[in-house]
Amino acid sequence: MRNLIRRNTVAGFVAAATLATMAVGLEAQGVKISDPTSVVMIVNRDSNDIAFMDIKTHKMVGSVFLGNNVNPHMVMMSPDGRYVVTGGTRANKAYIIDTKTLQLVKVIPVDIAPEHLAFSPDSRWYYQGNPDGDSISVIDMQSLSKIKTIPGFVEPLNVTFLPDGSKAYIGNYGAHWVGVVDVRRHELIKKIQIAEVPGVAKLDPAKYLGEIHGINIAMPSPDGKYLYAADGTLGIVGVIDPREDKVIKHIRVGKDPWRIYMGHDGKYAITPNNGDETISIIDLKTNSVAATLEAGPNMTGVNFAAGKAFVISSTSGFVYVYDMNSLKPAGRIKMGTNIQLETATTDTKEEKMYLAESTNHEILIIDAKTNAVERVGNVGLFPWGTHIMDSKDNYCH
Amino acid sequence: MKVRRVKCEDRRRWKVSGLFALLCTLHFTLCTSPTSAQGIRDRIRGDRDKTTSVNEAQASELTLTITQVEVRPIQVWVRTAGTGEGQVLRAFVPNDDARFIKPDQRVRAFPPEHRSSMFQARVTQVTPGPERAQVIVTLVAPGLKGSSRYVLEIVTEHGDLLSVPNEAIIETGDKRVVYVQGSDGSYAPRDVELGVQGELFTEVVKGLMPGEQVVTFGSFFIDADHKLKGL
Repeated sequence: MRNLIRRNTVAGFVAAATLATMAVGLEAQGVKISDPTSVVMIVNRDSNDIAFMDIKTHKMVGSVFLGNNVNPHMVMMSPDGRYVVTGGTRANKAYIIDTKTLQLVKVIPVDIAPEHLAFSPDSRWYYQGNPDGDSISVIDMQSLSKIKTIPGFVEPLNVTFLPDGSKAYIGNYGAHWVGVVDVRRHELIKKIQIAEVPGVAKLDPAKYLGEIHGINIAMPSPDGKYLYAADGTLGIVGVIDPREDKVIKHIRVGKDPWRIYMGHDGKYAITPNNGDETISIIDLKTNSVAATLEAGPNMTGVNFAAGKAFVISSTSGFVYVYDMNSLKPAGRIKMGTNIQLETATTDTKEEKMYLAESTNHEILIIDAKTNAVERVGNVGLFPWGTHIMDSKDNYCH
Repeated sequence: MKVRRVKCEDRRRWKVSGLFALLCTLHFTLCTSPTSAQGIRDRIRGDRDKTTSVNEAQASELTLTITQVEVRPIQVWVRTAGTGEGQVLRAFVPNDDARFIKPDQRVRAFPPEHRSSMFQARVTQVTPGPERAQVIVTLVAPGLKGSSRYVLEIVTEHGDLLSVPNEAIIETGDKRVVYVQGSDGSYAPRDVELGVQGELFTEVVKGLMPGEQVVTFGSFFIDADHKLKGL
């Protein structure tokens, strides 16, 4: 009997200890974000961290410090929601954060000055562009290791994958061609020349080829049938057929288009043209310019919501608004004076936009219907960009 | 003189031919007698290593990648077709898959005509049926105008399980094999028993311990080398 009591007491202690361990375990696990779609990610360039803001309450959930002199450039969440990644431009490293616990789980050396990045649709591969290294680093998200560096690019900025994940397209800002990468072999298999450089360039290459504003991104149309690549120096948009990887049409737009942004309904796309401070609205059905409208200086991004397009003019402190049904200007929103606007993301309900403003270290939340602005301060130093999982407007500058 | 020399050479030729015939006979005997042939081969080769080794240059060429066996969350994306009006879509899923579908789970919805556009959605209701369950999914925002059909990917969580990357697993007949890295850097095959197969990782029920390192990218080449050696 005494033995039985002893056994029961021991069993009780064991059970209590197990429960206590489990409780401590859960606490130690420290789940900070249970739903990856519930947060806005903010890249803070000068405080070297990624901050997380709750979409509903607009309160900061937490932040992950990456290290001194990292200068994160762009942030993105993996399609499975498990990881948040960023490239540290000054550190030449890629950083992988566990979304649930907000723990920095891996730091991977990549090539020089990593900036923009993309995930393959199945979450398997993370392609990190290294503009100063003229390469793409391929990171395997199963082993969380770099498996390859693909060389041969010229200032590669943005990476886009085909919906089936078979090929990736790389915009070369220092050249006039789009690189096609076979995702099975992670090899550059083709260079698609967007257009011929004018003959005059050959006479004075230093003048005409020294400061190339080439291709920022090859953006797939919403139906996935074509890719559109704007070339800044040439002032055109090349339409690429990904079945043959050939340019099938050129569309002349304004001067020095920064890049192309796709409307969510698949009808129109917009190029902000910083050379003449206009925007070109491209009809995706006819592949022609449907409207050219006045805009502001130094445009860094375009967001779409509530049937409108919001064009960010970084140095003027204005966001220019356009009605995408009538294709006419719909006013502009003054965000402040002597401020620097960066880039924005749109929530998945397409109701609000989250715009990074680096001068006052704040996020400006724009209501797409009313154009009202809410300010959230102290998000970190020099917020550079924002990102929401599954948003259709996730981009960087 | 000339003739004699020819004869002499002929004799030599005959001698060489005789030796060649003897060697052929010996070779034939050895080859047709597997036991003794294997014995000779074993004596020549000594104790054969049952593992495969890869030097640094080869590993780089093969982009050989090693991943740790560990407990990680496994996601299965249940794919189905959904139809409906407005933001509410209805889909049917076999009961086997429906076991893991619960309200509020994340759904990725793609209109077939807009392959690059993904619309976020949530599971709002699951009604079991005799063979299939009816799953109601609600789009977070209005979907594509004029589109009533969507390809749905329902993101189901199966919990934290001991797992390896899908790519590490090689199917040979009825067996499932992974290549495990030894302490000396060599690779040896190991039979494994598998459980839930997720999008990126598969549960390992038997055959591996947490902390062991398995080959993922490049496992096919290790396997090929292993088979070439006849191990």
